[in-house]
Amino acid sequence: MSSKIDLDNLTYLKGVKSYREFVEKEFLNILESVSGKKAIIIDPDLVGALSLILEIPVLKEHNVDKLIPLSSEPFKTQIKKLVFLVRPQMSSMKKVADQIIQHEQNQTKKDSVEQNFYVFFVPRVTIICKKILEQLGVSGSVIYGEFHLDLIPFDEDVYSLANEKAFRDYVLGDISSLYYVSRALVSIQSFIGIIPEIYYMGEHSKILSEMLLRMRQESDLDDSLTPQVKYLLLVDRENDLLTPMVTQLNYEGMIDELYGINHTLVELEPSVLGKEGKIEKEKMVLNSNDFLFTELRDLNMALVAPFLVKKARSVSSQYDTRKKARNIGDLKNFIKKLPNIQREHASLGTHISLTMDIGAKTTGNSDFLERLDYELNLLVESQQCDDYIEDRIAQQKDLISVLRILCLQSMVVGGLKNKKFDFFRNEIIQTYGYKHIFTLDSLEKLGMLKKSEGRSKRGFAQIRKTLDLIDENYENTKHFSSVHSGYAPQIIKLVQILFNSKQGYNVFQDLVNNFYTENVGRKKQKISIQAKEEMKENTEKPVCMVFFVGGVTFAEISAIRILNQMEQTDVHFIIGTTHITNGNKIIESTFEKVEDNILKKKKDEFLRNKKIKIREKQQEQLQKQLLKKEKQEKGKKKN
Amino acid sequence: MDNPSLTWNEFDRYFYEKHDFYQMEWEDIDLSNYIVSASRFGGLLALILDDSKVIQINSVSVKHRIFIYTSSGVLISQIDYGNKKVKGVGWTLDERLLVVYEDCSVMIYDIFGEIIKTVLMTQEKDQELVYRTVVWENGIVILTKKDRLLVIESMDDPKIMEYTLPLKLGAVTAMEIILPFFTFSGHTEVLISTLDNRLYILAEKSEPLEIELDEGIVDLVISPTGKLLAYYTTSGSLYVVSTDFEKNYLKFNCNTKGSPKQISWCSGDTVLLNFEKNNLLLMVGPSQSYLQYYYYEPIHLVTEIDGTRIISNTKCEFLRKVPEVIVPIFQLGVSSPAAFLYDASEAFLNVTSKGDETIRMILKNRELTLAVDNCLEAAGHSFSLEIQLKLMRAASLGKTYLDGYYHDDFGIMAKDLRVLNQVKTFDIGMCITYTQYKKMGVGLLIERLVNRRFHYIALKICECLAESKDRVLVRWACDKVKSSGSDEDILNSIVSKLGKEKGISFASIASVAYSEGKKKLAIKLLDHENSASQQVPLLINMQKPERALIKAIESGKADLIYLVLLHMINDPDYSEEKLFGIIQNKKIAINLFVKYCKKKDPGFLIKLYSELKQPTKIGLFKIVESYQTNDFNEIMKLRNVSSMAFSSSKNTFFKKMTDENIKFLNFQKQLEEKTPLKVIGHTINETLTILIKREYYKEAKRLKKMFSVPNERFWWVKMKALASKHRWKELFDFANNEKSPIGYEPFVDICIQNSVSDQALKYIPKIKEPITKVKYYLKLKKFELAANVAISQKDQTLLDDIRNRAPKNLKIPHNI
Repeated sequence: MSSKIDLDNLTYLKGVKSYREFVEKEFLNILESVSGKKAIIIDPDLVGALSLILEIPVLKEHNVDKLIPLSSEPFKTQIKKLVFLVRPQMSSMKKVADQIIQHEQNQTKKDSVEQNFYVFFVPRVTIICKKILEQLGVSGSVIYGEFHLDLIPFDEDVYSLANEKAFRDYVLGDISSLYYVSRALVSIQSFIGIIPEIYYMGEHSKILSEMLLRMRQESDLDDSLTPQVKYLLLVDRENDLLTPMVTQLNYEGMIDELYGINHTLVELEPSVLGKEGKIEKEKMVLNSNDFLFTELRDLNMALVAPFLVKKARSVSSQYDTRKKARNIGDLKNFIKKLPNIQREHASLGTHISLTMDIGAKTTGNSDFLERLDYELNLLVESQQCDDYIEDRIAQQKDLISVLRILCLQSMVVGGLKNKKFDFFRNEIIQTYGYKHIFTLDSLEKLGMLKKSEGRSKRGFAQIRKTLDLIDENYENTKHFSSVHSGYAPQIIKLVQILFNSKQGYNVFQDLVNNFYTENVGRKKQKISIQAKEEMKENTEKPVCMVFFVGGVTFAEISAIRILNQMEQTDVHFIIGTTHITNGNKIIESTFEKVEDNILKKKKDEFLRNKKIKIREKQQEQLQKQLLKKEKQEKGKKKN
Repeated sequence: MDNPSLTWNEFDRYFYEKHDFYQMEWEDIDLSNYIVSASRFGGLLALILDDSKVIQINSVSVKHRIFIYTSSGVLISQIDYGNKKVKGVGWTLDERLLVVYEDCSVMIYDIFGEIIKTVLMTQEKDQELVYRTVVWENGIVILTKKDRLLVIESMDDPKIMEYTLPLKLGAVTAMEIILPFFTFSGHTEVLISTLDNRLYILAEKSEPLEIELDEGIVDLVISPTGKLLAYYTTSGSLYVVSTDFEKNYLKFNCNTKGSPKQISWCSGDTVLLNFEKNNLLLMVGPSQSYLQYYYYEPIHLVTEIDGTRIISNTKCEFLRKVPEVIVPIFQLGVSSPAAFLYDASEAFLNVTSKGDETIRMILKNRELTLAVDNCLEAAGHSFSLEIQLKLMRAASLGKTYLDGYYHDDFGIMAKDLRVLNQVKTFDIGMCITYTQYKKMGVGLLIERLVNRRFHYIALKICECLAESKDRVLVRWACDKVKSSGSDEDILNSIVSKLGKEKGISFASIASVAYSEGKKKLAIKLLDHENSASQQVPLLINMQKPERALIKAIESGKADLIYLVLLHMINDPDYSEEKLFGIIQNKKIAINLFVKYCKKKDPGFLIKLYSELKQPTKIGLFKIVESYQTNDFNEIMKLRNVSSMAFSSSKNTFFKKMTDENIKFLNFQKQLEEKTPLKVIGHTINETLTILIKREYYKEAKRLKKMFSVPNERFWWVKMKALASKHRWKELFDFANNEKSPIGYEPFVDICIQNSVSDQALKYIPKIKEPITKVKYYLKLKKFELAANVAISQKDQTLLDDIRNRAPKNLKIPHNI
């Protein structure tokens, strides 16, 4: 199954297709450069990203015998060429080094083959990674390279670097991945033309905008291409960490919340899709290649079921046309349409099953409903829910979900009262462990969990009022607040204001300055006069890429799509991002991955003892059986 | 001009011609006193006074000097090399001078005598002396007096290889090399002939190959293609054999007294022998044919790929086989399409109609394209401007008759000729033939021009041939930097000329400025560099780490930031204070540094944090470290450090948590000592659970009190622990002992989850909310009990609802 999105009929950003081909070709060239049979040892998170660029079976044609996920576990192979495909993360380097050293040690044994090692960094090699490999004892015989997998088309309107660690890096203050973002945006501009106007909000976005301009000079971009994107709006995720904490209630966002979507793929228990008897998880691609999904993805969950019913009726009426067929011509017509109808039918079945399962997990689940209630009360009326949260901790519910609502509350009310702040933190440490002192530290630094500093004029209540974020009438009028059942994602609201002819940049700038950050501004990139003329002649709506530095949620993506459909927008928006995120991922990225050695040692000991006991038991039984046999035989002899 | 074929000599089925390039500009030079070394492709001459000659000119100025002249005899520079003794001189392709001194040192000079590199072939203490040497464009072979054979194959990366010599090496008569690209092994092979009639072939990592000959070799030369070897023997014979010694091509007896001063190859398989004492230059062809040229002055032969340059006191000549494309155009009595076209073009000039007819005839024979191409190529190969012009005119005329002719060829040839004729002028003095030009490439030609500081002409050539000008401009700027003048003026003139050009490497210009000692200028130049990747390493070299760091941060490239940081860590010149001082206030750099230190250098990290006055971070980092050990005492020690750190950062909450954790760990430790329980590593909640499961109630209570665990949470923990052990009776007692702070719904829930509905029923009456009671009764299918609640609440609709859900056979009352 391929998750490659069909790019043949693009209205906007026509250059993206050749861009993706370019990236695919680069990868195949890398494979060609390593002649003969090879095994690819790959960072697990890159597999998904890769399959958005090329069909995995193509690898076989290029002599790739094996695709092995990168880990420290030893594995044996007779393949001579081992190609590592890794992110330039320090933590991955240890695994690479382990593998190379293991294989090199094996080489000294007699019967083994001489192996060659290639390490390709995605998207760029870094000095520090090479240095760490060196320090870990990887010899100079390794050949290094780069694979510039930058922006990946997830969909016609979604472009992501698929860098899942980006936000975690920003939490730690490591902004080195901004460089990759900048490179990615420069490199795609050589296919879609230079983007003439850049807006930014947030510290990282500001740095990024400066980097983009500098890099453009260095890389000598061709400025004669007609720009296919007119505006680039760079937004820091840190401007709004509140929205991701709110449960996503559009179809695609809900699927992500419940099952998790990775590189457009969702893995479902077979029972969800009504396929009993299967054990392996069902993989399902969620993108606009599936026409039905395109219609569903942005809908509020409450509207999904009615829509599906309507759809089911129309499909069955299409089947009925066969019965009404009067002559061969009608029948022929029907048969022509049949594959489409069948495809739609199959897709319909899948989505109905999925919707039912979602229903059971949400509207059929009092826990879920209760939480939603508290969430909405917070968002709409700033009504606090200390008892609820306290109760959740007492029950030792999943920490991520606890922190999500706790942080939401803290951000909505502008910080917890001193006593409460300490109480909850104390509860969390006692219940979930001392190591969450790191989590609390990070959350505080991000401003997601903090002590109240008295009434603030820049608090959420003010934002809510000024930006008019609440619109509970979303079911009747098309409005993007539907993605959170009445609460409109703040950034999308700001986007709407920026590109609204009545409000525009000055209003946007004031709002951002007042409520978010002093780092707001705009920059221009020069383009050739010819390109300018051609852009003017273009009759399509100008395109704006809203780029989220640090991640965007599916709810926000849907909100942007709904914004596109709203009548008063004169700009067509598309999404760019470092990665697609959600509340859980953001909370999790504040966790410090420390392993409790004492506990691990104990577990190991426990398991070892258990094994020994089992073995002892087995031996006992064996001896008993032997004794029995002997006795029986003796008995026979006596007889 | 007359037909050029009049000057041709027919020789061995071919024609040879001798062309005068220049009358030498120099005066008073007697080549017999000098050793000459010439650079290939019509390049420069290096002249050194021959020590073996009785010095006739006694002026000091000639001694210890190398004179560099153009091929036209224009003096470019003199290099004073001091008191050493020169054993060999050669040129690299881009015209750097390679000089081998007797003490086994090798120096590379630029044309103006500046030392670029020094290589010592042996260690000084060995006191080896050079016996013989062969210098070629990219390497050197030295035979020392102590019989060691040392080889360098690349002067860019001078690795010295030593070849094994035969045990007994006789007196050496000649030494020659086969270049690496012609040998099978890919390494230089060395040929040495000795007085005892032997020829040795020496190669890397192999035993010497010995060939015994009938007579001794006096001199030997390998052909420019590496395939043929010519040698001259004691008996006065010239032999030509293949370099693998499989084939003998020629044995020619010269019948001349004495040995030739020089042997040289000329245009492929012809050999020239310079019998200077007999005033004879003898040309010998493969089929025993020979030709004699007489010179009454000393000459020096320079083998080129397509002929031989002959330098004498008065002239620079070129002897070559006439290119095959030219021959049929001018050879008398021979007709060819190109010749017809040439004639027709001449006829046109004389305004006769014959020309048109001729061309139409060629066209009819479908030979016009060939004719045009031949005329073009012949123009390229011709030396005379007049002939070039005539041939070009012919080609130009011919192509007008052709539809769809590829005109670019004509344009390219016109440009090439302009370039060749330009560099051939007297003052530049590069006598390059068309064949050589094509072989060396425009890049090398420009490199040579730039090395000669002919920037302007190089630039014009680049423009003419649409080559990139960057290199020339940068080199111009580098030379400018070296010139005297104020920094300000130099900077202004460079920026005004180069500022608008794209892709200029200001870093490489700055680098030159730096090595010239013009630090300030270097820094100013670097500011114009667009690429941070170029800027930063240079700034590091210039000992400007702070500026380097700022530039690296600006670029946003973590790699460059690390480059600076790692440099500072590893450089002993940078004390920690200095380092901290530099990175202070640079948040991005600090964060990256922290990330690196966490992995690689924790000790340094602590120093950094204390320097930056961030004790909270120290505290947190000590916690990270504590998770990497499993030694209890070590953990406690680290905790105490953390606690102190938090207290000094006034983070009271973290301090409290840490102190509590210490208390808790001690509690757990005691517990493990007193009981068989294993609890260390578990959280407070988990420890409570373990204690209750294993029935250590007193300890559980103590723990609860110690950390003032809220009642609610304690109840949840205890309830779950008891339920997990299915201790239902105990659970019930627990629930009845006190009033539950969490209500009784959780008890019902947990019993239902464990499928013990009889237990669940026990707790329902304790629930306050009647509607909840009903909900649970219904869940447990106890419809009568549910009905009772409804009745006692007097809720008719509820009762009706219950009845509707209940099975029909149950008798649920209809009214309250």
